[in-house]
Amino acid sequence: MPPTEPRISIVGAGPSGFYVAEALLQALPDCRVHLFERSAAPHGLVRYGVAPDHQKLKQVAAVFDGIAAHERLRLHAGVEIGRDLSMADLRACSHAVVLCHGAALGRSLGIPGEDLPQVFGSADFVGWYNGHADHVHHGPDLAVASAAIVGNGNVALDVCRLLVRSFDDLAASDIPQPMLQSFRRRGIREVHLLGRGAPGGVKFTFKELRQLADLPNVRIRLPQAGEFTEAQWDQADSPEARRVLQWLRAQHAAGPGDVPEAADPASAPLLTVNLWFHAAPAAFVGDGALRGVRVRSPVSGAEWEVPCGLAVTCVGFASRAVAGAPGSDASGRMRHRAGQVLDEEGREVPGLFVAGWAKRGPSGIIGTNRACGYETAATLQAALPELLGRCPSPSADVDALLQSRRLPRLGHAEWCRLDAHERAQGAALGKPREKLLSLDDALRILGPA
Amino acid sequence: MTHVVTDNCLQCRYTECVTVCPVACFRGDGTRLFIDPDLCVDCGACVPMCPVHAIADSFDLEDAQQIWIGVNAEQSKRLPTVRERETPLPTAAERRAALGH
Repeated sequence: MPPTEPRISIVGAGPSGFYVAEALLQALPDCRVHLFERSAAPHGLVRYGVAPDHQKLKQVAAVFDGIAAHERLRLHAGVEIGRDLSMADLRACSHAVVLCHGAALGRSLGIPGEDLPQVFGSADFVGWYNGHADHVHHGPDLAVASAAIVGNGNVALDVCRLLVRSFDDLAASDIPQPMLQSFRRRGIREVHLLGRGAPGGVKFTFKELRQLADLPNVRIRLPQAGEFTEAQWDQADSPEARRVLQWLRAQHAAGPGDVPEAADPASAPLLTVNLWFHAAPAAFVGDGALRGVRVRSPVSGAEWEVPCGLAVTCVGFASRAVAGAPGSDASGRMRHRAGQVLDEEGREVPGLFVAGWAKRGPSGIIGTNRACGYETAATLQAALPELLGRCPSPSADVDALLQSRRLPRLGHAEWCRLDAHERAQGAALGKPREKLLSLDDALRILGPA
Repeated sequence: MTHVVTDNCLQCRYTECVTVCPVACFRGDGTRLFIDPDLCVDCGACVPMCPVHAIADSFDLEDAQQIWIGVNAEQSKRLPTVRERETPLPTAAERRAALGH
């Protein structure tokens, strides 16, 4: 009997899915990898999470396309596991399944008023301006005078930067045209960034702050700076937070007067970003329409209202449950040992693995997923002899399944055509690409099979 | 702007950095590593991985360190890619102590 060819299915074609695939293809010379993606386009958060004005970072997509072109890898975009195919289907086609489905759900604050119009979670708002099919319908109204952003991480700063960045800059990014129209109507003059913790507890990086501060039409203010004690100025949770704190202190010492007016006030009026600390949101307030955020200081107990016509909460992400796979723990991560999935009782689930945000939680940057994916791949490789022995030949075939369920056939070749189409459309508009916004868009562009 | 490997890498060559590089932009010879600025996407994942703080955003370099921008650009063009973690040089522990990390 010829040696069995390991068949491995990966759920999610984001960074972690691609790096797991890369590691497996390299370590197992005869394996076949099927990479499933629920969106019509691959690349996960590189396409739908990384800010549209961070195009250099998005160049990592070229590495993913190189992996996708591998002769032993098959990409299946537009196929959702748990909806189009079940976990049982996938298990029947594969010796092992690796879950790389990320953490697509924005965490909510659980405070009154969160359901008011114009209050958005970060997954919704970031997904909207990045053109993710799940979020394109949100349509926030940016023709408001002020916005509040809840959170003190890099996502909060990304959202803040996009809300204040000049329209010309945004038009040269890959924000899709319909969303760009909302930015054209933008009326925002002031953004309030609300941090629950002390100034030394910020989670965003100095680099992100610098990008915001370097925008010529933006000035950063610390409305409470006069109240900070020497100890508060001095206490930082991390070396990175210390750099931020030192910069903020220098900024405060320099005073507000030394910020030059923008060269062309008409195209880029001077906008203010207020950094608030010890400002824990207690409620979003307004009668049918959002009027502001009521915040409370966890330190002094003081309460005040920050006026805003738009609010975005950037307070973390949780993984979507995959039907047929063990659930996540309280922190939103799947239970695992070096990528081997464990059930609620801590027992190994044979043949089921996890990598990326579903494994580690929503932290780290793109490259973190490479080391993480390689760890999971090594664990899978070690378990493979037993998995192959248990079931030498999977009972189902991926192609037969996709065909019988009449599912879309969006492989790497189709993605290359869509990618070329997006770039060509973008070039005509002076931007890197004009994104397709739905599976229907993709199928229309590709034409009859 | 780019990221560069400074001479803290010399006599160490820990190579933890290459495990998190999303674009495989590290190049190296037997003595140390360099970053290819044409491949690096400035994600910064490698910076906290280095036990001897050898990697920096070029923006953060002091004047005397600016030379590493040119050296990285030049050397990376003639050296092979380093993708996998390798054993540090035998002098690494001693050098690390000397650097105070």
